[in-house]
Amino acid sequence: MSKGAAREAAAAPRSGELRPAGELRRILDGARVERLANGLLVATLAAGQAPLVTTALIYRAGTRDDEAGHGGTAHFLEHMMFKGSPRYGPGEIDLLTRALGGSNNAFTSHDMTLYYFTFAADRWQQALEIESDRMAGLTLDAEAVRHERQVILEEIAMYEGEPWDALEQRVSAAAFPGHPYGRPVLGTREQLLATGAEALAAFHQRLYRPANAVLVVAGDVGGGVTEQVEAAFGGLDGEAPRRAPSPPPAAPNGLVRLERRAGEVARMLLSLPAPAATADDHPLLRLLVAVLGAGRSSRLHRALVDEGQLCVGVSADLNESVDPGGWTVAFEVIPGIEPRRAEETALAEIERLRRQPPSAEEVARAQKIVLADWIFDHERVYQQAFLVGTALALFDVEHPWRYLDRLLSVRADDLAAAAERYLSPERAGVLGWSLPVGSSSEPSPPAPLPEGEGSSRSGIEPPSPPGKGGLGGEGSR
Amino acid sequence: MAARFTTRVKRVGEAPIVAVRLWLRGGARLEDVPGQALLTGRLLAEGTRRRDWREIARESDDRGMLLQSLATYESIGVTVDALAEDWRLALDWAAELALEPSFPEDRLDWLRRQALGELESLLDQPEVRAGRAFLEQLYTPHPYGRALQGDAESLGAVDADACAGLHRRALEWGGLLVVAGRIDEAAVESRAAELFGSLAGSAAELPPVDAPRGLAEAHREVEIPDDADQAHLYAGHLTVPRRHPDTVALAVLAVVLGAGAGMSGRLPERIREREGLAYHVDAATYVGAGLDAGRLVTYAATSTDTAEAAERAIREELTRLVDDGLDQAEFEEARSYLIGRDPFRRETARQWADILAEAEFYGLETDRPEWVTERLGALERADVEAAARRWIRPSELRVTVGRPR
Repeated sequence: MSKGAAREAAAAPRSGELRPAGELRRILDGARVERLANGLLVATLAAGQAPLVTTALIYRAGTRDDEAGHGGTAHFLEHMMFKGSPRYGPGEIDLLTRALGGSNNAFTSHDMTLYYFTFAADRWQQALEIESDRMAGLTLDAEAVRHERQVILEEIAMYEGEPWDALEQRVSAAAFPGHPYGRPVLGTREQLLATGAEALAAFHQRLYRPANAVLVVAGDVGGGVTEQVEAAFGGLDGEAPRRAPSPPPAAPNGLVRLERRAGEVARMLLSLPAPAATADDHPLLRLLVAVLGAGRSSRLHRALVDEGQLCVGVSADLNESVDPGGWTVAFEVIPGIEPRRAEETALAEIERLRRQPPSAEEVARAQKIVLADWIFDHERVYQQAFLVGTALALFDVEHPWRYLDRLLSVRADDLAAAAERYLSPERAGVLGWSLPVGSSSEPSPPAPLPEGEGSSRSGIEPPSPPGKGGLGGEGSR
Repeated sequence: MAARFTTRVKRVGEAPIVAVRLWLRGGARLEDVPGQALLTGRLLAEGTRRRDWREIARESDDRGMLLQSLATYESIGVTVDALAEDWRLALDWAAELALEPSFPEDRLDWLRRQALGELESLLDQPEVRAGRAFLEQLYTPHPYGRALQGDAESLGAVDADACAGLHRRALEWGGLLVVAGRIDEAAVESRAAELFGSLAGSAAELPPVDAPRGLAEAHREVEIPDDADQAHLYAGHLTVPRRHPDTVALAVLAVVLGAGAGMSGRLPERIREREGLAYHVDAATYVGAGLDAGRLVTYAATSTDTAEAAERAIREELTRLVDDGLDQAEFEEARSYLIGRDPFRRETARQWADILAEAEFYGLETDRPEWVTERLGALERADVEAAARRWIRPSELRVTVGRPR
């Protein structure tokens, strides 16, 4: 039995029920990883479902790397990467992408920044030329910097007007006091005004180096990829400083409550501590979160939506981050329902799962849902490129496999300790409400958590997701 | 007479996925009361002659299926995304939900309240509230001018019999089944014939709907729930339905205006890149087109004190496009973009299922990649400029601006 087949067998403990885990193995086994002499890590991923090639370039440079007083620099620089480099003037990258029938974009998170292009398979090499040129240097013209700052200020205003984004920002700040994960990816107005071409250039010079980057070339790639990457990037200087460790996130002491008044709908976002993505507990918590919120038969869906009929929908999510992060529950309350009832019901369900771990049937269902979602979410070439690139940049290429392998081999009995550690809002958490302007409902007092069986519920459509990327947060140009 | 029910099956993709789309004609376009189609569509997953909603939820979750019953303005139906090994189950579920719904009254009561909550949530989002007012401004009294959710009064007027009645009519108007993914085509076709054989014959003719006239006011200001200094500006007018031959030229015009890669296009280049008036600028030329006309829409999220400047810029750019046309390089870039983008739309089983369903529903050839390439390849700059003169009318723009209270 090959190594891959052995892993697959281990991951399919129920007579082949979870066989499609082989889909992940197929993707990872198709990846060829090399390192150039200057330190650039290059992954080539052959995938032939369409005549397309995605190039994804990931820098280990995110909001956590912003200098003090210059919050938002990583995201600001992401914008400026499209505003002028030695060979491409402002806006030319987009024009060229359009002329070649491709697509491009970028996003910044707390842990990294990712740039990508997708082109037809006969012209994908254009992406290498663009990326190597702007890795080598940017023009950072003062007028272009001033102009783009204004665009980002508009972006900040836009997010402040979005009910979930505004709530999420406040909850994140309270959930990660003193840690970069609590800072807004876009920075604040004052920080942006204090950040000019000099700070941007210093950030670029420090972190946009080959040895601090991962390049993935995925899709219908043909031959000679390594040679073409070497030709484009081999001449660039590679060294980059090691990322300084952040102080460990200080979890809130007890359940911190916050409230804002906005709009006409009551929305709740609960954030609780979660382990780092590489921790053994992370896949276990993933299953617990799925038992709570994945699928119409999940506990929170039944209690809050289909049976309880208190909320329009509910979502439960878990971040995958380098440092310990968070998991969240979010919902919107049906008009006329007292928000406190929905909150108490949600907390009671979390408490019930902590006290009574899920049945074997529930765990098997959660595993199936997580696995199916994983396959649905990695069907496209660019999704596979992001998977491999993120794993290489933040963890290692086998991380997704180890993760899924552990998740699929868990049994119900294994979950009790993780439930005790992570399903305790009263020990550490942030509970944020966005309540209608002028409503009479008061935020719940810090009352003892109710016991109680799941009341009811189910939802056809989930509420709007709280922002882009959950509490990990991300900004996109 | 058109066939009452058609089936398309296609083996595509490398991932072990199957996508099932089952659409029945009708939808909000042909409902008696606003919200009736939405409730009817959603009730398909709330109980059948064989299963109640709990069993449907649990059994589909057990297989990791994404099962949804839904309504649009033109159809009600069921979609299932499943692991390929479950293709037969996915097909059987789609048939059971679409053909044997029980329309339980207790679930209807809940779905009414859920729809109202959903509507309130949507209207609590600034850009959605402004966008909703814009659609009303363009389409009233056509159904596209009102929310799929209806309102409290209209939802209260819908009972289970009304839903069953709309479903019966939808079955007479007919529909389609599409199955795409890593499947055995012959086996799927055989099972589909067994399940949907009862829908043989000819489709009943669709009744007419109210033509869109729009509201009288050309410029509309609406209050939006926002505590930031942001205005949401929509400007546009009606254009063409989905089958219109000018859609190909209009697609090129959309790219020229701003629907292309990144921040390229005349509107983003001017409003965002040159003048810094907005973070987000968008353009489309026949968005929402179906059996009835779609619309030209330009959108900008801008600060309240620059909304007028953004509106002026939009008007000037549309006028320039109509009066001065395109230069050859701009035309060729936009066309090249659309040709290059086409494979992006055909990567996955779910994308293919949607393309096949749309082609079948509207009688298009867009499911054939070579048709798309040929049509774009045959297009001349003069054709696109002529389409701009026909379908972009700056003097007829309707504008909605959502501003914070």
